[in-house]
Amino acid sequence: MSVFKIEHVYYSYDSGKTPVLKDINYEFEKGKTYSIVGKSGSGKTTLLSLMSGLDKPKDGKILYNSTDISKIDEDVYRSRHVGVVFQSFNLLPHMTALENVILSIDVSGIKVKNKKEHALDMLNKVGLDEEKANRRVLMLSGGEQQRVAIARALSYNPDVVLADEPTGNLDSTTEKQIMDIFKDLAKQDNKCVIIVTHSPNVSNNVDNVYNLENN
Amino acid sequence: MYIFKNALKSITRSKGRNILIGIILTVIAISSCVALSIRNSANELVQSYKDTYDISATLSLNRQSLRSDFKNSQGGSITTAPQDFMANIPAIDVDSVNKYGNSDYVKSYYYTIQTSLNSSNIEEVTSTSNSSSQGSFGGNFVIKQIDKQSGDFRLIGYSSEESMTQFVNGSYKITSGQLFDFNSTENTCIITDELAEANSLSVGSEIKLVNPNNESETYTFKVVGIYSDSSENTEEFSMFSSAANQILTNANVLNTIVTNSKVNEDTKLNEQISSNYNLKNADVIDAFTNELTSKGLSSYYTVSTNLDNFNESVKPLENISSFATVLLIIVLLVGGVILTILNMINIRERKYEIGVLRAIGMKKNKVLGQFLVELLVVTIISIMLGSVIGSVISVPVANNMLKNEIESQQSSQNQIDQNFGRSGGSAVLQSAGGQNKIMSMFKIQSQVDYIDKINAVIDAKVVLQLILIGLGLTIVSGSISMIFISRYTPLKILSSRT
Repeated sequence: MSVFKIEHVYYSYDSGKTPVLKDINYEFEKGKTYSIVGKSGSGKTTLLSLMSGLDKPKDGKILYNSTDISKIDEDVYRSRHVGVVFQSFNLLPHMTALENVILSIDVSGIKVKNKKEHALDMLNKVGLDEEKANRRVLMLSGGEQQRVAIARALSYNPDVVLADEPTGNLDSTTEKQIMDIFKDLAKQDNKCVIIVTHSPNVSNNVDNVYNLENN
Repeated sequence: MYIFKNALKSITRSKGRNILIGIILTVIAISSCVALSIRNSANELVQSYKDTYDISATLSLNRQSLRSDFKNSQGGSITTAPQDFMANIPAIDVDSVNKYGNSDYVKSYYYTIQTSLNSSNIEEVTSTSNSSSQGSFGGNFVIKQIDKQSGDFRLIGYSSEESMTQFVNGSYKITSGQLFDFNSTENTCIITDELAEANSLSVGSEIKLVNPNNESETYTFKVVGIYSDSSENTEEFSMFSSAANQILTNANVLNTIVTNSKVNEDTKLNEQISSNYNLKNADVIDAFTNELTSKGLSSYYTVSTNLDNFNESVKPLENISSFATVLLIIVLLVGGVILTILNMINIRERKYEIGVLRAIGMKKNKVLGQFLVELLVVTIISIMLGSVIGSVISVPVANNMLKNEIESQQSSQNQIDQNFGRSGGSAVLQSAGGQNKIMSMFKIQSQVDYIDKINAVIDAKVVLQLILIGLGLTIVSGSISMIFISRYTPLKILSSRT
C-alpha cells in the first residue's frame, strides 16, 4: 500500500505555457528508499516542493495516505506528516543543534515526555553526541549540520522523509554516512525516504529511482 | 509556551539588535513618562486647587449701569442731583446678606458692617504711626447713605472670625484681654492699643458712644480686649481720621445700633455693609448670580469673584500641561515611526528565520506572536527603565518648566503694571497643596498666588498609561510585521536564499 501517491501532476511557472512538470505519476511505499533524478531544470526541486506542501500543483493530486494533501492544513502537514531535509540545511543559526530539534518537536505539537531526551536520541541516531548537540549550528561542519537537519525532520516521527539534494554540499565520505542513515530509516524505522538528487552515488543506493527526464 | 521561550532565546542571542530597539524604546519611555507625569500632576494639581480654592463672591455697585441710568435720568426737563440718584439706589441690608447667603451654592458667608459714632468719654487719636486703610479690608462696601454726619470713631461689626482678616493674616494681634463673643448681644468691643493708651483705657473699661445725628442716643461698650496693629502704613484714602480709632465688635450688636437709629430718618446712622460669599466651586458662579437676581438683588449691583485670580494662578500649570501633551504626541509620533522602521528592517533581516519557521510548519500567527513577544519584552523592560529614569528627572524638569513659566507670566504682568505706572512684583508663590485661602480671598484685586511646585510623581496611572503606549506601539509596529510575514512564503524566502 502506497503512503504517497502523485497523480497526473502538472506544474509550470508561466501560466502553463512551458510546464516544468507534466503528468507525473509516482507511487511511494513505506520501508523503501526512492530517488528522483533528472538533469538541472527538470523540475526535481519543484516536485519536492509540491510533495512537501510548500507549493501547490497547477493540476493533478498528491495523496498522502490516500488523502489529497490540499485538503490537509499545510502547516499541520509540514509539521507532522512529512519531514523535509533541505540541501542548504535551513537551520536556525542562533540556536544550538538540540534547540533546533526541540523547536521542531514544539511546532509539531506532538506529545513527548522529555523533549530534550527525545531530541538527543534523534541527534544520537544520526551520529551526533551531546557535546555537538549543544553547539550552535554554525559551529558544526556541513555534514553535521545535515545530520541536525535529518534529526529535526525525524523528531516528530513522520511517515515520509523528503530530502532535497541532501548530500549536494558534502564530501563523498559524509555522503555515504548520510545515505546509510536514510537507508536505516527505511529499513529499521519503516519510513518512506524520498531523495531528490542528481548524484549517481545516491541513486545507486536506493530501492527505486524515478527519472523525470522520462516524462 | 514555546513561542515565549523562543522569543527570549532570540532576544538574548541577538543582543545588538535588541539593545538598539531597547535604547530607542527607553528614550520614548523616558520622554513619555516625563510628559505624562508632568501632564497628570499638573492636571491633578489644577483640579485639587480648583476643589480647595475658595471662590469668593462679593457684591459691588455696577458703575456702568449706574452711569447709564443716571445719564438717562438727565434726559427730561427734570434733572436729578447725583446724591439724590445714589440715595434712591436700593440698599443691601443685613437681612438681604443673610437671604443671599442662604443658598445651595454657598459654602459659607460672612459680612462686615461699619458705621461711625462719637464718644462722650474718650478722645480720638489724631496722629499715629500706623494708619491702616479702610481699603485693606478688601470688601466692596456698599454705602447706603452718604448724606449723614460722620462720627470720630469707626465702629466695625464682624459676623465671624473669618471676616476679621487682619487678625487672620496677623496684622492685628490681641495683646490683652480677649475677643468679643460673636453671638453676644452685650455691647462688648476690642480697641487698638493706641486708643487705649491715649485714653488710659484697659480691659474692663467702658466707652460711651454717641450717635452723631442724635446726641441723646448713647451706647456703653465694655472693652474686653486690646489689640495691636502691625500693618504697614499705606496712606490710602480713609473717611476716618485714623485706624487707631477703630472699635471692633460683633455684627449683631452693631446691626442693632444701626437699626435703632433708623427710628427717625434724621438720626439714621451711615451704614456700610460688606458681604463675602464662599461658593462651592467656580462652576456655580452663574447660577449663584441668577439666584441673587431672583432673590431681588438690584441690577445696580454686580457679583464679583476672584475667578480671574484663580485662572491666573493655574495658568502656568495649564500651559505646562498643554506643553507636556504636545511633547507626548510628538514623542509618540516620532518614536512610533522610528520603531516601525526599525521593526521593518528587523523583519527583513530575519526573513530567513521566518522562512525556516514557516517551512517546518509554524503557523503565521505563531511566527507573528513570537516577534510580538520579543518586541513586548523589550518594550516592558524599556518602560520599566524609562519609568525609573523618568521618575528621577520628571520632578526637576517639571519644576524648572514651571519656574520658567511663572517668570514669563510675572514678567508679562510686571510689564503691564509698569505700563500703568504701578510698581511690579505682585505675585505670591506658594507650594502645591498649601493654598493660602484666606490671603488669596482678601487680595483678590491685587495679587496672584502662583503654584510654584509640582510633585510630578510616577504613579500607577502613569505606569498604566506607559504600558498602554507600549502596547499601542507594539501593536502598530507588529501590524507592519504582520503584513510582511503574510506576504512572505517559505518557498520564496528559502529559494531566494539558496
